[in-house]
Amino acid sequence: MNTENLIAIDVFCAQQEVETSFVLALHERGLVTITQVQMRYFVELEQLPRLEQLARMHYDLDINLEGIEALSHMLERVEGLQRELRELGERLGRYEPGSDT
Amino acid sequence: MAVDYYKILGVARDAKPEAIKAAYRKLARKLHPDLNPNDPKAKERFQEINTANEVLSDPESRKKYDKYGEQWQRGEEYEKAQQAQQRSRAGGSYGDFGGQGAADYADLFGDLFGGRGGRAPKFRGQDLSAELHLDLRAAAKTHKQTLTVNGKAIRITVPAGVANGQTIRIQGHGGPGANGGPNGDLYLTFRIAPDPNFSRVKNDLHATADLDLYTAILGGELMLDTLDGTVKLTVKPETANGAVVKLKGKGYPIYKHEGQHGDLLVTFRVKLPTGLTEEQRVLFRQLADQPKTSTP
Repeated sequence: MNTENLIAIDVFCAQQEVETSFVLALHERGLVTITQVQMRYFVELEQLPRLEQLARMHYDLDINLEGIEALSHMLERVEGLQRELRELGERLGRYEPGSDT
Repeated sequence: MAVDYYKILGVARDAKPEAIKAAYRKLARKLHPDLNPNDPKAKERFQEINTANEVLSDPESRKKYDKYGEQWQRGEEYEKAQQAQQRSRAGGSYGDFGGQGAADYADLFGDLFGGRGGRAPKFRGQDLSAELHLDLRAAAKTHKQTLTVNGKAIRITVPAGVANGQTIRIQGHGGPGANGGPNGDLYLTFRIAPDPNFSRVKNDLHATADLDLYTAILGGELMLDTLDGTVKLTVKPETANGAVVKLKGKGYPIYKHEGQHGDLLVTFRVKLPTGLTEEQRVLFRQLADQPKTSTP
């Protein structure tokens, strides 16, 4: 398998000073996806910002795994609602006076 | 107005280090940008509590802050310079500007910024936020753009299809870290100005096309502007005012899905003829006298 878009978990953990068990626990809870390639674990580069965010919650803010799990769901909802609000605002803008299109 | 770091963290002036740490943690959990997406006020407050915590959690800087207040860094510098000047005068040396050499200043700044013994705490740099203003057409193409943030030029690639209000994180381009801590991140929010011809809803574009009465009734062709040039549009006979046609794949590029586009929805606006000649009026009357056909 091509590992070009993947980063090895041990590399990530060493760089970020994060325990491997933490990343594995996130994977068990479905918060990140781990890919196994020849006995080595990787995460997709696309998931790095999320993984860093979850690590900050745990290590900087002292939030335990249960808290992180609950917060992740809430944040997804908040972001979804913000997106919806933005789209509704844009749609509403089309009907405001002066809007020709 | 003077900034009161104790007030910012909500602790008493004689609070123990543990109480300061606990108060900071509690506020950080409430205001951290990770937990408050797209909330500039929370980000600003988080930066305030960070600064307050950086000063109050370090015993040396807390002592200086207690002594000099908000200007504690300058206060210390000023006092040292005063002392050096007094020493110089007392020693009866050259009588110039205190006789203070460069090495003395190095000591002075070393003392202020990390010359202390022991392990200095690492602090991550502040997260910064900036806005990038684009028009709808510019945001429809992947392009490179140079931004200046805090005096530093940053060249970024703007992927086609970014949305108005969308924020991306550019790692390590925030404020510099202290004592070997990592740099903060830059949060860049796109502001996309409305276009006079198109409005965007998700990945679809909406436009209006004027249609003369004859083309609306008899059908015909119409040249229509899209984001990637002009297209010929076939108008069906008996097209009603307000009818909408969908041009598949002629809408907005889909973010991070290269080559994929939404649709373009065109609403027809039928324009009635004005300034009719007598001959045209007669013809319309003749039409009006015909047996009525059904209207949809």
